[in-house]
Amino acid sequence: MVVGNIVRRVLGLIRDEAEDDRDGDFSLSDAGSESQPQTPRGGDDPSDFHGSDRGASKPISSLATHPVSMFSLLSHPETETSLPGTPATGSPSGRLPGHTQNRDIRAEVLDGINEIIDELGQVDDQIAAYALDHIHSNEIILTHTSSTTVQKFLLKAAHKRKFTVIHAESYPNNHEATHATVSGTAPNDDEILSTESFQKPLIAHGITVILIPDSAVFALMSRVNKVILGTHSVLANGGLVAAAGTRVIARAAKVHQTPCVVVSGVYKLSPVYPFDFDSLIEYGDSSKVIGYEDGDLVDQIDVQNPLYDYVPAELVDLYITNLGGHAPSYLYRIVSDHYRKEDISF
Amino acid sequence: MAPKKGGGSNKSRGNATEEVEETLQAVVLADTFETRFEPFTLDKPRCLLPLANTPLIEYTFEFLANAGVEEVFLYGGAHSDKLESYINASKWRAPSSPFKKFTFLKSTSTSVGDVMRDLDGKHLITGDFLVVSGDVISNLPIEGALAKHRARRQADKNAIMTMILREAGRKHRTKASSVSPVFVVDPTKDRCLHYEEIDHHSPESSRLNIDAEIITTFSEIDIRQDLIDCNIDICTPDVLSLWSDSFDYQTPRKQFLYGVLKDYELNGKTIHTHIIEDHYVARVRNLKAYDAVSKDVISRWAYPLCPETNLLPGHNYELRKGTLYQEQDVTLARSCVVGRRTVIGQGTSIGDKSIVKDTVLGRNCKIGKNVTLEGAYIWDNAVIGDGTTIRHAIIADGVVIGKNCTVESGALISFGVKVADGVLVNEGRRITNASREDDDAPPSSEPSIVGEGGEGYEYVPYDEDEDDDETASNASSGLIYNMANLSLSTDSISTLSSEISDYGGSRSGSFATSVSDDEDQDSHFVQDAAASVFDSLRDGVTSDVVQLELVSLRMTANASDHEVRRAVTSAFMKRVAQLMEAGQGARDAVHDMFSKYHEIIERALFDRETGAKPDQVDLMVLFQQDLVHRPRGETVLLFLAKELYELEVVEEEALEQWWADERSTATEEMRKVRSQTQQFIDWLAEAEEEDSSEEEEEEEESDDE
Repeated sequence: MVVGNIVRRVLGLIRDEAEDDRDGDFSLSDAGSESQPQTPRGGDDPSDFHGSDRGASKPISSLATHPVSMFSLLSHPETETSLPGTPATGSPSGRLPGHTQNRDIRAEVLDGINEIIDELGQVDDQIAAYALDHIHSNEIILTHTSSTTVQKFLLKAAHKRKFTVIHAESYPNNHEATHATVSGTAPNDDEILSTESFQKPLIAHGITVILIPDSAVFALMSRVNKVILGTHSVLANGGLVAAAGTRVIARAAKVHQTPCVVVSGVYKLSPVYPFDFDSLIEYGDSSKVIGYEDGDLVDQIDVQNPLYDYVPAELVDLYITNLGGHAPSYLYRIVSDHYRKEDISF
Repeated sequence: MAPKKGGGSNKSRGNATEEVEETLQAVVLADTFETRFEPFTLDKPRCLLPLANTPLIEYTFEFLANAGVEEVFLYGGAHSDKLESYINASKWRAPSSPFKKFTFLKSTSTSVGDVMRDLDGKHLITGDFLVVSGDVISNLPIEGALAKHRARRQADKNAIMTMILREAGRKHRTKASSVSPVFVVDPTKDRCLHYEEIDHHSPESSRLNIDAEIITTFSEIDIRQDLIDCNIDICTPDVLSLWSDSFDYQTPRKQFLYGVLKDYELNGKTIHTHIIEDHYVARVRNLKAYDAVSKDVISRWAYPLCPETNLLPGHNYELRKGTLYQEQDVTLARSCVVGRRTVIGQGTSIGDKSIVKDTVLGRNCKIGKNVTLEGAYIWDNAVIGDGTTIRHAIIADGVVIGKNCTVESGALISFGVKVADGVLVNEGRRITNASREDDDAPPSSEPSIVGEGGEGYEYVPYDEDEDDDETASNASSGLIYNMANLSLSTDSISTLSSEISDYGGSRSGSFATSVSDDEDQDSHFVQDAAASVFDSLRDGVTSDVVQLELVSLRMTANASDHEVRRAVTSAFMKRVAQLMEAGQGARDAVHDMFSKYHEIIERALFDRETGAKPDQVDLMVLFQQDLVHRPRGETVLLFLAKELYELEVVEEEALEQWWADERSTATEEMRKVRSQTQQFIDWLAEAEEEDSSEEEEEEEESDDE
């Protein structure tokens, strides 16, 4: 989904540039479909994903290769150097008469893409900058999953203030990563390692961190001052698609009138409107719930392991993005600022 | 000791190529040379059969791509042309394919063993490689196993293979149920010590024969039957040469693994296991496994290999509530009920009041009204008439089933069959429309099976030889089991066990059995081996080659050391006799033979270090015995004893023991034969004092005789 968002933004960028120059009529409609942002491909399948994208990029016109190379850039930082090469490989299509003009657009689009990359790099820190406005001394804060955005947010506040964090472990899909974040042992995932290994965990800052199972959330909610949640993506109506268990937390917070804050980069904001939110929920590996070796259970029981929850907008009180705090009802403005109408549905 | 030397030379050859760290290669065996998927495999290669509407081989390639494999060798078996054209059109041949090199190899092999030997002959493998069959479904990242394998190989060059096994409780639907593999594993080193397959259908083979040595040598062993063996092996190139050395091995587990483990003392190779407790690994080895794996894939145990991952370009499955996977453009009547665990492909329509659950429906199927489908696997373009009920059956591409039919559990209806209205397809029946390989036209349809106007005939396995296989596959092919009417032959296993006991017996060194006893149970091995060694001696082949041949023969027949010696002695004596007939003196003949080939004899002797020399004594007795029947045996024996002594093949103590042995004086002939050797023994006894010139005179005299 996030990939889809970025593709949309790059497409929008290209369209802006194109319209500035001339009323260029790009047939870009096919560009997006290749990257299949909605397809719940397994994250552990990068080679295939990457490969199919590269293959798909061939028939598209030269400009349309940008979103694709953009994508490979994100998932494989080491290919960054190849970026300047990619536009050259795409043959200039006959649709653009002026070759120099074409190159001009290219440069600007590249600049735009670089801006987006910068934004992605800084997003967590930008969000963390708002931490002190929202977390006060001696508060009890409940959070969920091992989201880096949330961790940075809390860490920033922890520099100045003392508070208590209750961390729901989000078994079975994310509990190991959560345990690692809480205890400060570096997770062995390479991607996180680079940033995370330099972070001291909250405990090192003298913050009390309490790890609880998800089932204890409701019982503890009455004592919590604030719920801070990370998310997978934010939908246009202000709803969330977040790690499984988030909805329970949000609902419990509502019952106890506890403010529920969602921290998320703007890049997670998707223009998709959840008409059928069932289809947005991905179901994961059943064997995380029950070991596959238990033959009798495997044979006789239907195991479902949803990876995500849909949290309706009314359960969320505030969004904090890198642009500041927003009410859920205001999100549509940001959406229309960032994405172009043509790109909303690929 | 002597036998290990042979292994050593093999190893060093393999190591030279190993040292360079190469790209990971994989060998995919598209055909497993079994008949378990008949009658479907009459029309289509097995690895293109769809599982949850995706050909099996796609899952395998996906797994390999995940494992970081860069070069793939695909071995096609039956229908390899179809497979080739499929592969050429697939994304794996596209420039974006994760495989840098993709080689399709056609072969006429009839077993896995042939493929491996072919591969060895082609010298395509440069480093460690994976061997998988074309029906493996796994989401396992192989790095861990690979790293362990490499580390082990660094430490010990003899660790040639790592098998990946999945732990899976006592009972599990995905395990092979007719034959269950038993692994004896040393858990401290993950080393596999023994392997055997237990057949559940025969009471006499439900026993395990573990060499007592294993139990005494290893302080800790695990005997495990709870493992899913999915035939994913990480091999070193040595494995290929082992396959080549033993040209009779056919199957990778029952023969190769079993054989290599059993001959550990001979070749010194170790095979290790990597037992995993998470991730999904399975192999579609028979139709029962097909059923189980389909269920696993649909209920997301193999995540992310699920239908909605859309492995094939052009697929667009989406997951709906209740594990219902549906492609676009599916027409469902308003009143039909589509239950859980169902996959529905593009363009399929389901009529009013039909009930579908636990079912996989391919593309463009037409399901009529009031149809009940339960646990059925219906492939593309099938037409099911109104009011038909299908339970736990497989309906292949393009099948037409009429109205008001009933297809009972376990029925297999193959490509293009037409079943007329109102027919009852009995439990476990297999109907096909394909022509047999040998006759051109498909046999005429059998109206009793498919009804008037139907097309297709009942499929019955046609070869007597395959009978065992077929019953076995019948047993395992059914989607359901019918234990009652099984009569499985378990020849292979029971003979194996008897051979093992033989082996153990002779190794324990009870040579008290008289020679004549041995004569009775004269095995083919002695004759074969003697003939083969004799031929090689006559042709002047080097002793290495002779040795190699002997070893492989020996492994084939599971022969004892004694038998090896017998074969060797008779071959040698025959050759010596031949040389003498050609006019050579006994002394020269013996000298020629033994100076050139004494290594062969040395390798049949294992008692160099011990005080008692049963092997050497045995050897001498055998020579003596053989020479009884030969002309001028007395003379030959004398020179033989001297030659062997001088070459240090047989030691002085052994000669003395032989002389004292009662076997050597058992009969009149034996005593006669050894009469001339008396002086040599005397000379030995008197040791250095004996005048050598005198002896030479003696020899010349005897030559002149």
